Amino acid sequence: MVDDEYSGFGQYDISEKLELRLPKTEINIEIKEDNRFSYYRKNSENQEIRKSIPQSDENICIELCPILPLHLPAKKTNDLIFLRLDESIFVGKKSTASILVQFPIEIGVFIVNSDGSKDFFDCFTCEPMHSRFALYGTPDNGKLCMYGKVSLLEESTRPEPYIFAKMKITITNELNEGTSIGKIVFPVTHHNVYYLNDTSDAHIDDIEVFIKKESALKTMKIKHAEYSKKDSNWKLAPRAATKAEKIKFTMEWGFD
Amino acid sequence: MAFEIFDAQIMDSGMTVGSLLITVIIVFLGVIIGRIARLVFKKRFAPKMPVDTAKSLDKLIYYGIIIIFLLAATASQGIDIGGLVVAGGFMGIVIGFAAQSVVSNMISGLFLMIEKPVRQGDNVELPDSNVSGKLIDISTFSSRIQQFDGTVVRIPNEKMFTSNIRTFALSEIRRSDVTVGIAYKENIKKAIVVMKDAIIKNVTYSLMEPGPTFWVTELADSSVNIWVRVWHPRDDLAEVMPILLAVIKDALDKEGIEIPFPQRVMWKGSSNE
Repeated sequence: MVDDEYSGFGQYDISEKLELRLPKTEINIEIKEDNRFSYYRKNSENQEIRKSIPQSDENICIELCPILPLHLPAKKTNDLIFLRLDESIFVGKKSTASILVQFPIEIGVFIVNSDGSKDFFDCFTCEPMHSRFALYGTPDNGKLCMYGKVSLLEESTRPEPYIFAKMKITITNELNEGTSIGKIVFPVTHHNVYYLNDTSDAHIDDIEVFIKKESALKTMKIKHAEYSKKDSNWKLAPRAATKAEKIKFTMEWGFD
Repeated sequence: MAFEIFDAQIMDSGMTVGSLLITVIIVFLGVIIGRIARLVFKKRFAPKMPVDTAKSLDKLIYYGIIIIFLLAATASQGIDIGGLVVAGGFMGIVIGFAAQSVVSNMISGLFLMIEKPVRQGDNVELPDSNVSGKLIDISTFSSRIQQFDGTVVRIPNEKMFTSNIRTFALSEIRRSDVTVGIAYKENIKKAIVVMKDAIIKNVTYSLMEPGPTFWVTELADSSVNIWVRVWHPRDDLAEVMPILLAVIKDALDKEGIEIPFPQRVMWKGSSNE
């Protein structure tokens, strides 16, 4: 479902002119007389971005889709994302719980080539407040992460369109005591983002969290899991400059 | 007849002109191969390594190959290195006394590369020398620091090794501090909330966790001074400091919170009071 006033995710053929409207963002693409495609984007802070695409073909196709939130305001992190839950979750001893949360996204614009390959062209966020950094750990040895303050969702609730995707988290507490979780930090480059064509709906791969005790230290191991409920309608979003890397990471500096 | 010159001995040393020529050619070949190896290393392997390791290995490969070829050349031509070593040792002592600082710089450079108190590419500060910038190279005798204004300062390795070095490279984040004074009549809690909201909203590179912190540090002559501490990614000082005070001032102005001018109340007394 897409709000009437906004353009949905998906591919757009441009023969003359295209206008895309997203929250706090406007995109205009048009053909100039010299057969050059001119790209213009303006955000809520009146910042303007202009780019040109010299093109021999008469038509050009672009794909507007959600991407991983690793590029704005600058690519700085070790591909870690820090999700701060706005309400902490208590998981009882020796039990498993599943929750749905919002997951921050950025929007990517890709050029679709005639052979089907896609080139990353531009990316932006519809809510600059969600493009922030945080540190997991102590200043002397902590890890810099991208940061998102997220809420829990119900199955039927839609996350805020163009700003968040949905993500399922399955938490298994292997300890003999209940534990509260207020933050989850994990490497995200290996995760795929999916979207429904012509809508603002986006979903990211799931994660499985295991709370353990390792040498008297409570740790949280996070495993990537494919988005389990996807069907053929869900389209895999192309990747931006980020490489899909499987990085091992264990939260060992607390998760309250 | 023309080739006889190659058999001529050089100063009764047992070395002929021909063998010397072959030695030079082999060493020259070593230089060429060293350069090719260096080029291959720079293109294929160096990009995957940390900058300082790549630069050190680059030098090691280049000079290592030249030394191997030099030794191979002398051995193949029957040149007795024993004499050279003895002469070299003696010369070393003489040169060592004559050029103490040069040798000291060279050894300090070696220790800098081994101990690695800082790495090439790190932002460093030498408070004793009032130099701060990016360490761009540690070479045989000196280190070069590119200051933030673009100028490059050459520092002898000995001085670099014995100086206090302040570096931000060991942590992924760093902290910037500013002091803001508000008028005595203002509500301190409200001022802190206003400043915190403004920083979170407008200073994009300030960390959300740990967030900005505020310490009331001084009840000063004209104002209550608050120390504002903002954490941000290590290399993004330039994204934070130029706007931090402006953001705070704008926010305080908008809320009508006074930042007082320095002022002094003077009482004039009289003799019958």
